Amino acid sequence: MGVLQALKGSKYKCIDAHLHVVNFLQDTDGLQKCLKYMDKANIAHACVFGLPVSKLWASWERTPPEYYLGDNAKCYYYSGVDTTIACEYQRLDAESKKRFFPFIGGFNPCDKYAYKHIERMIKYFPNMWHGVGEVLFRHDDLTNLTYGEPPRSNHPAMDKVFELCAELEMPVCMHQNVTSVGANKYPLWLHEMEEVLQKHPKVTFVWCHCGISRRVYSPIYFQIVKRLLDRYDNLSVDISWVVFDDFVCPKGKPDEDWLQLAEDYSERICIGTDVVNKFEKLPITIERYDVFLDALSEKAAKNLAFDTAYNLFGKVRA
Amino acid sequence: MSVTISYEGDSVEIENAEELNAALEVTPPEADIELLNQIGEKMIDLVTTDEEFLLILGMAIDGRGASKQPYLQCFGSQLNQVVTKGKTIRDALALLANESDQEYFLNTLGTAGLRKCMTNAMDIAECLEWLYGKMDTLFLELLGWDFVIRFINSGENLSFLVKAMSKAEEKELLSKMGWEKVMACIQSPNDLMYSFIGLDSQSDRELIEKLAEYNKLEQVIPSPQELDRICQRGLTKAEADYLREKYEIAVKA
Repeated sequence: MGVLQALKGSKYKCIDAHLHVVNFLQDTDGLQKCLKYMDKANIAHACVFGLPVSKLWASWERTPPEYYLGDNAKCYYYSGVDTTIACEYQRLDAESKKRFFPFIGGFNPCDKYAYKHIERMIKYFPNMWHGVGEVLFRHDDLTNLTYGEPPRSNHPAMDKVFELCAELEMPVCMHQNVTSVGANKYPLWLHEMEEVLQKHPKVTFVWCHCGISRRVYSPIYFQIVKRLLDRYDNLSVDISWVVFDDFVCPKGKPDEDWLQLAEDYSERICIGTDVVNKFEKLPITIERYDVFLDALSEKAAKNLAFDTAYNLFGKVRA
Repeated sequence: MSVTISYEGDSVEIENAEELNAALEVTPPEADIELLNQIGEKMIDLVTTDEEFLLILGMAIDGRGASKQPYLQCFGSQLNQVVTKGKTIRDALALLANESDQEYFLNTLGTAGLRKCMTNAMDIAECLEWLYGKMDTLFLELLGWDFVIRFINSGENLSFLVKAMSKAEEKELLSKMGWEKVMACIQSPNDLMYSFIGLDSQSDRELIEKLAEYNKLEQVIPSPQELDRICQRGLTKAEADYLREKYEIAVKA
């Protein structure tokens, strides 16, 4: 089978547990186009995230940026994103709606009023939300490029958000890097994550791409992920984005430790594309997982591809 | 309209530039030329806008120093359908590292194609930023001096353009414009200051002489304070002294 096969998507019927339908300029090509490429990719459902920040086109930049790393301009919190998602979703027919699991995420996680935004979205757009996220806590350069204090999972402002999520049984997808780009000997920010897991045991947390971003590394990284899954029943993970290419399946070869972990915890691990509005990339991005799923038992492969995400996110919560 | 591409015995249909971009991403770089050749003149069915043209130009044959002509050649004379803005020419020139690629690109667009894209002096100046030596000259020849001069109606526009030109080109521009037209561009202290900032010092001196000759110095420099500001920003000490000398004579007269 040649590499072009990837454009035809996965051979497994999948759920994309991590898909951004807007880009960092808050533009979207729309859920209709997304559906077209989900069909090509063999993605039955997708968790739909916005992005909580918008990249500024600064006065000093002649050319507009297209990505958060495009230039030195800052990003700012943009709550309008959830309304964009809600409006896109409401334009779909009933069958198409079932394909998407929309999430609320357009709030500043350092604002003690953040929970009010979630309440408002539920009030004005009821019966469509499947979860909260992707909440961007400790990131890489994005944290440095965002106005305000660095967001972190154990920020006091998040307590009320997590309490609300526990009450509504809404899963929370969070981006919290294990450490900073410049500190790869010690997992600097892991304790923030563990504090939250301990403090909010009734919340179902999903650790996006297992706490890894570009250039983030810890020598005991695999042991960290395994220990957290061992210890915290309220934690699930997705293996999207760079964690898959750098750790889970480097150079397209499944890592033995990660295969065993996926067998042991297949009911708490899901896959995702982390595509950011470039829906035409869905087929080639989801197809990457085939080689890993092929190496698992049938049950574990089905869990990772579909069942785990369906159990976590499949239900409308609010 | 979709196009079928094949690689190593595998075939797939692609419908648009984004899908072509994904195909180029998933295949090794050495396959790019083969895929582009398969698409050939049908490229214009896939790549239909300036943005899409740049997307594939950036992605295809991305090896250091590699020629991107195989991609450009797919469009042939239809290149002007996907290169319709000054910004597109600027961004494309910044991606074409080879002089021969730039030459092919400019010649294929030709005078009509290039002129259609240029809407102001900044468009022309921004393209000149990415052209060097012979290609600089070719670009200006294709546009034509008469066309370039059309956009020069202020000191600021004059400055944009001459800053992006070689000394020889600057001289030629001034000669083609004629001092009368240059004088017409200078109506305010800012026009004069920008002109001095853009022009080289030899042209600065000539401009001062012409301003004096046309009795314009006292018109465009209304006060000694403005004279100080102009001298500080765009002139060497020698030229600034010369301007002050000529200004004093003009004011006394």
